Amino acid sequence: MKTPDDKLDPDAALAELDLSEPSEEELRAAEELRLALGDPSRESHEADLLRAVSLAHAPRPLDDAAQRRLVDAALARGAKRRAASSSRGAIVRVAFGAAAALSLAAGALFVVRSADEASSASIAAPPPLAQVRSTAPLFHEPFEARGGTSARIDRIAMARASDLRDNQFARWGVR
Amino acid sequence: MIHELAWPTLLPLASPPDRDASLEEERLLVARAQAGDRAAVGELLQRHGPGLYRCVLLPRLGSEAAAQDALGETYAKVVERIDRFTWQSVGFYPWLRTVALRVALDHLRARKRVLVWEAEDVEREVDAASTATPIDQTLSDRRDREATRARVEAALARIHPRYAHVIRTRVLEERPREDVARELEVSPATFDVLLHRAVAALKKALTEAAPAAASSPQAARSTTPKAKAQGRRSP
Repeated sequence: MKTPDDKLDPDAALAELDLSEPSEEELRAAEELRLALGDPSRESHEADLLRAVSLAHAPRPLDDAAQRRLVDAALARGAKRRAASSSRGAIVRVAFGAAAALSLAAGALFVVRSADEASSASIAAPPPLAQVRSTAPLFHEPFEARGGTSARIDRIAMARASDLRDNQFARWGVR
Repeated sequence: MIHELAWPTLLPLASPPDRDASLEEERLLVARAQAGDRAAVGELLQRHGPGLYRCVLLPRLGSEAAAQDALGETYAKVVERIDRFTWQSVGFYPWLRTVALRVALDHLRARKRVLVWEAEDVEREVDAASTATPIDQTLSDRRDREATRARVEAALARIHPRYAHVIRTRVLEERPREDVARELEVSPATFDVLLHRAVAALKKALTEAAPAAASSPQAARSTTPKAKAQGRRSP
């Protein structure tokens, strides 16, 4: 078998020219390239590159049917998107309107209820509160003039804390 | 004789009144399209789409299926964003071409195999398109065609003449395998090996050195520092 470069002029044998005998692998690759060039459905990067070179050198025109199809598809997609965005806009407007109406209603209810509560509170009698009183009833037994101070103070503080709690509960209306 | 050959490229492509009328018609079409007239958008795409496919997308993406996908995406973007377009004195096409280049760039980035155009080359073109003075479609198409042919020729010039001859006859001229093998006085099987080696050399040439800025006039005209820096980087 002749090698691919048997007919080369020796002067033209540049470093880039492969003069070696093709290997089995190379022969298979060359055969694969030949088949792929004849059948575009076969996967081949080499054939793809050659087709790209061919199309770059002499690009073929787009046929009218394909052009029409692409234009129609783009216009249809645009119309669909516009419709979707306008329906989305309508949904947003409706939702916004409903939310605004609900907010308004809630605000009005709050104002009415606050007014009611204020007026009813002003009419109702204030809850009875513990009054300031003498600490004398806290000490049935006589206590010494000297010493025992802490015990006395503790008893008074407990009584006052209890009064304070009662008064707060009375104000909050939970007593 | 030289002058006669040079004349056709210097002749105006349309007389100014015709061109002005055509531009005014297009301006009205764009205004209608921006006002939501779908028929006007369709008319704009019908008018410019085939040229965009043939001169911009197909050479850069290297396959009819990929170029048609990219064209469809470009159309969809145009329909969606036409309200953002600001009228230019040379018409609608420069904006459309930039949209298409961006789509092509996305496609090239997603694809990892070697083609005639690399993603970086198209990126430079996108940069150039956003800064260079816009030109009308006829001139733009001519420059795109010249740039693409120059790119192919530059790649073929970098490989061994025998490999270049094999690719030229079998791929560019589409001559039958047996004819080319006979011309080279090798067997068809040997020719297959030769073609295989030629493709490997071409792939290497395209990968190693792609002086995009030099071979793409529209990218080379860019005045951006980025484009200039990238242009300097290329050998």
